[in-house]
Amino acid sequence: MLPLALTASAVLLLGSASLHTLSLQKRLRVHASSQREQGADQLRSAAQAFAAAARGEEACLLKWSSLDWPAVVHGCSGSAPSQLSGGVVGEMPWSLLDWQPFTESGQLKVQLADGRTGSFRLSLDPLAPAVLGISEVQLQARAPQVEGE
Amino acid sequence: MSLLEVVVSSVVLATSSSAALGVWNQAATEVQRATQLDALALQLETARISTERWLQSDAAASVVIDSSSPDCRFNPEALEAAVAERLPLGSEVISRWSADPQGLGHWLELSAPSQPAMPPVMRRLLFTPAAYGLCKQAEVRS
Repeated sequence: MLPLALTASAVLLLGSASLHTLSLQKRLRVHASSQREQGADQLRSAAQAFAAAARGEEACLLKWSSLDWPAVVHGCSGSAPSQLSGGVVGEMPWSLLDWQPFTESGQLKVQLADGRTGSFRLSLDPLAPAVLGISEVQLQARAPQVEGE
Repeated sequence: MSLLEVVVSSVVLATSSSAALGVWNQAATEVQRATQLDALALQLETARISTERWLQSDAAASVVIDSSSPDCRFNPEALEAAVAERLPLGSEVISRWSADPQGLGHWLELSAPSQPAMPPVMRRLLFTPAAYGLCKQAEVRS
C-alpha cells in the first residue's frame, strides 16, 4: 500500500507544481504585456511630440530626410533641426533616429532614453508640409543605450 | 499489510493532498487575478484606441480645438466629454486629462480602481492637436 500512496502523492504534488508554474507564467505574461504597453505609450507620446514640434518654421524640414537637415537648413529659413531631433516627454528623453519622407507620408523612427525604439508612418499633407495623422507604433528590438544621451 | 504501513500511507497521502490543495488554490487565485488584470488592460486599450479614432474623425475637428487660444490647443472640456462618452457602459476605467507643462498637448491618464493584492493598472499618453492635422484645420476655419 505504501508504494501506491507514494506514487499518488508524487502525482498530486507534480500536478500542483505544474499548475503553479502555469499560473506564474500567466502572471509574468500579463506583467510583460503591461510593460510593453507602457513602453509603447512612451513611444507614441514621443511621436506626438515630434508632430507638435514639426509646425511653423520646422514644418519645412518634413520634406527632407533627417540625414539632409544639416545641408538644407538654409533652404528652410528659421528652422531649427534640433527642435525635431529630440526632447523630453513625461520625464522620458527621446531622440529622433530617422525621418524619411515619401509622397504623402513619412517614416519616423524614435528612440527612448532606455533604448526602446519604435517606428511610425506619418500621413502628410500633399499640399503643404504638415502632419495629418500617425499610425500605430511598430515596436522594435531594444537598441543598446548610447552613453551620454 | 501491517497497521504501521496503513498509517504511514494515510499520513503521506493526507499530507500531499493537503499541500496540493493549497497550491491549487493559490494557482487558481493567481489565474483569476491575471485574468482580471488582462480584462482591465483590455478596457484601457479600448479607451485609448477609441480616443485616438475620435481625434482622427471629422466630428472631433470642429469641437476639440480651443478657438480662443492662438496657439492651437485642445479644448479640455471637449476632451473630457469625448472620452467619458466613449467608455463602455459599466466600465471601471477612470480617465483624466492634464495639460502638458511644456504646452505640447494634453496627457490622457487611464486607470482602473486599485484592488487589494493587485498591481495598479494605468496608461499615460500624450496627445497633441498637430499629430491629427487639427492645427491646420483650425487655421483654415479662422
